[in-house]
Amino acid sequence: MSRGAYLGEFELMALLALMRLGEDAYGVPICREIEERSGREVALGSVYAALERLEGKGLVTSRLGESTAVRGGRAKRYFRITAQGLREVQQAQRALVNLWRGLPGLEGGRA
Amino acid sequence: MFRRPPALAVWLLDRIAYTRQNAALAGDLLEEFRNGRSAGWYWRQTLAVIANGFPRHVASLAPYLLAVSAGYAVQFSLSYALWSLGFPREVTGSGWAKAGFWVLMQVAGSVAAAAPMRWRLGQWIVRLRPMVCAAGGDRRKSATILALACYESFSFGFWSYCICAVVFWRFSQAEFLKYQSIWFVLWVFAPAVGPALAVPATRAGKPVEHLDPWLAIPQCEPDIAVALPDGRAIRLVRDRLAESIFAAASPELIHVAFGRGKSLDLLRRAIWLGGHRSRSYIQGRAESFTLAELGTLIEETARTKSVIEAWYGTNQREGFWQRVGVWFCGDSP
Repeated sequence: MSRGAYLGEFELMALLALMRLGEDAYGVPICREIEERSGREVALGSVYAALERLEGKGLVTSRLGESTAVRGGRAKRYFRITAQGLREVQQAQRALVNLWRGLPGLEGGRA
Repeated sequence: MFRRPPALAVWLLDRIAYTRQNAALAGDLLEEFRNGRSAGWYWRQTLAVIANGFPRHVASLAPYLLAVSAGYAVQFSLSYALWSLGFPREVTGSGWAKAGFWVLMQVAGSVAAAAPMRWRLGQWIVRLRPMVCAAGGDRRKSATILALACYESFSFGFWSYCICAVVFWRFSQAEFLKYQSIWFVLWVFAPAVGPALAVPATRAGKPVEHLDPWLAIPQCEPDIAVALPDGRAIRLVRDRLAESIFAAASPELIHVAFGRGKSLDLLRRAIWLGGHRSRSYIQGRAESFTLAELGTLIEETARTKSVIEAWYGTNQREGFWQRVGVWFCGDSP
């Protein structure tokens, strides 16, 4: 990723969901993970759009997995975070923590 | 039996180039729906996919739009130059003479517009827009299609100008610009970005590849891979079905394929359906079916009368209002 380009909020959430899910990260669990953690309904189309953008930036890789009858015979597409993606997440975390640090009323997660 | 999602939403998804290229997304939606999500959820997701996919669709068509715009710009310049010189001249005479000339121009214009398609692609009428997507990374194919799109845009515009100039009336500059704009929107721009985002999988029951050979790769290759219990994977091809099944010499496969009065025609339909479902259209990657999945696929196909019915998930045994309900809301949980 080029220097100075930041991850969007949704992209960051998608990357964090990938890290939490590990090997089992395909569309449905990723979407559920983001929904459960953020408390908002998430569109699968938006998840795929974000993941494809991240794949284009080299932060995520994907492979086609097994197809099942419940999916109408369509294959699952598994996503995995790359080493570069991991670095970007750590960098984003550092930037956010630095920005948060010292803000009265927000420190330690208390409003 | 699995719940069916709203047929209209499935139909919409099937016509969006983005989901045709991304079969996993359609599979995820179906999986979630069958895990208990509501028809309303399926509809919201479908609309979100459309909203996400449309800008990508337009972006993917950028070379095509550029080609047709370039062809139209050349046509506009030539037509304007001819209009300035008062050429071609208006046909004078009776209404019959004008009508005859109009018919002659229509035929000549149609032939002139379609002849390069026939010469280069072997067909008089071709759909250049989906072909741009179908050509994918093949530069030579893409260049040919874009050149033909450019010519088609040029010939449509020029043909329209000539007909108006010789048959109807001498028009002013403002009218010239108005007609040119209308033709561009109606015949070039609107068809280029219009709602038929992906070609239907079949026409009159025939797979598209029989009609448009250039579309064969992304549209469908009616075959499926089957993983056998002994670890082998074989490919079932519609045209050589019996041979490929017996050549595998697997009693389990023969039982699934031919057990309990299953016909060869039913198997062919099942493979067509399975081939469609398992392929990521543009990427052309195939997944293997297990024998159990093949059995389910055959049973599912057996409940329908045709591949079209199987593909769209409609069931003719249901009553009219029940079908209308399924069309909008899918099966109830």
